[in-house]
Amino acid sequence: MINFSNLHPVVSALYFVSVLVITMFTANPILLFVALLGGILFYTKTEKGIHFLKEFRFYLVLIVIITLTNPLFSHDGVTPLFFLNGNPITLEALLYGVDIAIMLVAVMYWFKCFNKIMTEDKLLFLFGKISPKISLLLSSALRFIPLLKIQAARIRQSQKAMGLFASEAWTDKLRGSMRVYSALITWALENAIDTGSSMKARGYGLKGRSHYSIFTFRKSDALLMAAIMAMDAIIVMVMATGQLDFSFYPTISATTMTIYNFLAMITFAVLVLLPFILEVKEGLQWKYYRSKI
Amino acid sequence: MEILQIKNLTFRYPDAEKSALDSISLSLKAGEFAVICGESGCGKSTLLQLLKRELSPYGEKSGDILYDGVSLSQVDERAAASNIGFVLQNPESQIVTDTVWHELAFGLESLGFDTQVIRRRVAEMASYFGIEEWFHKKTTELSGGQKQLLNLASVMAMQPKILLLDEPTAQLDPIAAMNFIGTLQKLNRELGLTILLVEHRLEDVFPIADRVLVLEEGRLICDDHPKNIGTYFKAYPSHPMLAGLPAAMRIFGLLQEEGDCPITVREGRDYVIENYKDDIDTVTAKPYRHCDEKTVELKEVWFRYERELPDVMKGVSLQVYKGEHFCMLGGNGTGKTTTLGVIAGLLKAYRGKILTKGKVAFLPQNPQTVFLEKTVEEDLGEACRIMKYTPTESEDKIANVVGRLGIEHLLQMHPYDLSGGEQQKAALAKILLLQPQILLLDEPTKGIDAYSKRTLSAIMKELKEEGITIITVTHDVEFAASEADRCGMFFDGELVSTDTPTNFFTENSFYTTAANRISRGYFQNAILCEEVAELCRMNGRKAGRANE
Repeated sequence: MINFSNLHPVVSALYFVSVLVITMFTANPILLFVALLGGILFYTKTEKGIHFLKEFRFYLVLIVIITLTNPLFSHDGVTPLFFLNGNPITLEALLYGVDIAIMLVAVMYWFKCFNKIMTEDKLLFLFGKISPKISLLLSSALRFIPLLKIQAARIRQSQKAMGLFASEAWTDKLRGSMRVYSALITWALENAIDTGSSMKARGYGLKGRSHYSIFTFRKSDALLMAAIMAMDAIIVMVMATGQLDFSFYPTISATTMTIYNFLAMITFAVLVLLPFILEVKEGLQWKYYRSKI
Repeated sequence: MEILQIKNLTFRYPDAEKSALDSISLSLKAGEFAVICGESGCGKSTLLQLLKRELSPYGEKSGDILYDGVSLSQVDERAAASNIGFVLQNPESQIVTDTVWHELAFGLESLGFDTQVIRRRVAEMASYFGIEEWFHKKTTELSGGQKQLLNLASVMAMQPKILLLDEPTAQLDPIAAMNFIGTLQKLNRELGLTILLVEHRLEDVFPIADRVLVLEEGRLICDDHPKNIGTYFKAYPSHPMLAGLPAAMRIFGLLQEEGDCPITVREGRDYVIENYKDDIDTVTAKPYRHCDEKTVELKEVWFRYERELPDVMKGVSLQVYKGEHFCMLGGNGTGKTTTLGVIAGLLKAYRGKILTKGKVAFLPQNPQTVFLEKTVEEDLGEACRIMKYTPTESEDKIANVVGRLGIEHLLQMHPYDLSGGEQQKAALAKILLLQPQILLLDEPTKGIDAYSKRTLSAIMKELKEEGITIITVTHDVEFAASEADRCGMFFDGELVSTDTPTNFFTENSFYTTAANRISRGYFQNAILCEEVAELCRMNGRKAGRANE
């Protein structure tokens, strides 16, 4: 049983990069539509109910707006539908607008899924793979920012109780904020001394520091990673031959369906639907287990 | 086997006239639990830092520190880092990373252990310290007590042989502090860990310590079992350290007793009952008188922080009279501090009436947040500017308040460099310049030693005599018992009982002072050590129980 959010960060990162890169580098409407579909289906698994529907409505409107905007500015194409202010509105530009809109919204949906799945600690882990120092720096920064916010609120409240920020005048507000800010900086530096002591006391700076993570690379991760790489290879190879190319200007032209681009499209569909399939499968498995209990 | 030996250690900070530590010699056996106590500035923190090589302050040092028979400067870097664990005072600032699990692993990463070892040790620590439930949390979301427990656990993950702690419970509320000290006891008993603890909350620590080291002006004046400590202070009945001792010991001291001193409440209770008669069992409580003028009045006040959040104050009604000191007690999250905020006008109640007569000033829990300037003097000047005093007026007022609080020597210092007690006083000075009629204090005794507490009490008495109304929120029942005119208990957003300290604490059986717990059922209404001692003295000894 694989739950997509429990995958090893390297695998999930590879997955998102694959889907996003392919989506962004193709103009093929079939691929883009599949990508959009996959993104939306995946997103339904992370965001449920009314919130999802509200967002979905927004993205539908966005698709319409982008679709209509393109032909207003782009007058390429050979099939004019009608003329607006003496400029042709062409079928090609309209369809290209649909294509771009689908691509943008698909990418947006995939980024939304990315945000849900790739939590801070996973990203930190990936940074740690590149540079443990940067990862530690980010980790302490992530701790420090909320701390600063809390302290700023505390200082502001104490000062307000003493009569700073008493008037509504913006000069007073600005002056007050500046002084709270400077006190905050002093506090932060003072705090950093303690943090430094605590780091030194726990051996920071010794040679041969290791990098720990709570993520384990399981067999299922390895399998899935291999599968993703294989699918990437198929799609990229077919893309490289130009068989998936699609152009709108001056006329809409697509390469004819061959066994290869059909295979690539199926593969891409499997790739983008993978999280959804896994989640649905898991849901069914749970139901099955529960009925057995 | 001696794990730590200090030989004739003398230390002087650069540019200091006097030595911070003066020829200190002591040795600590493996598995011992020792407590260092003394007034602030007596050198106890300096001593502790010198024992941890990575944190040693710069200065002139003579004498020697041996760890496991080897001079500390010769100990291998790795061993020095892992074998000597150190926990600092502030729970928040010593956390390095953003998640609990990463914090636990931090020290082990420094030592370069591989993932398998770290995973095992982290798992072990999380289970031992009961961290599993918040293992995946962000460190900023934890409570103070959890933060300090995390700091302890992440030091313990490195498997130290000796643990040094610098006032680890000073910033915690009493329940979290007791929990923390309980964990230390467990580590000492179950793992034989050597512990050296600097502490001023002695009530909880004395019963579990094997040794008490008392420092005074850089000298070690006493090194003995806790039960013998009482005898040391017999010669100094007004020593500031006395006020910080456990109640049983203070009663014992006040009665000028000899021999083994009782330490815990149970021992104190046995001691009093075995030795003293109870013919007179009530003290004449100070009659409660109040001025007719109400300065603060709350009528059915309701408050919540946000529309969706639950009510924090649920119909609080309260009257406080002019010149009165009202203490609000109760657990965390019961609405005490919120009530102060509402009285101060920082928070707006959505229902109910709040009437205040005269200017309200608010001293927040963290006095640091009161300061904005580079020196205490400039900060006091700032308060004068807010009040729009003329320069000569300002000078007079500052000189007056500074003299009263005895902080002349602090004027040129940076507010952040002061100790907890000093910061408290300087913050109070700034607030008093605002000429308040009503003073609101949030946990004024947190993180300050017994001596500073005493000065604070004296200042509060003076202010009361001037007709200033004081409302204090505190966890410190001993402080409330001796200082308040009336106490109120907060529970679940309501003020459930309000009474004079004597009635308030004699009617409670758990939430009461140690002196009351010692004499409960034997004497009727004694809540202070002085009162218990007074009753003992009035009754005299039981037959055949002469003072040896």
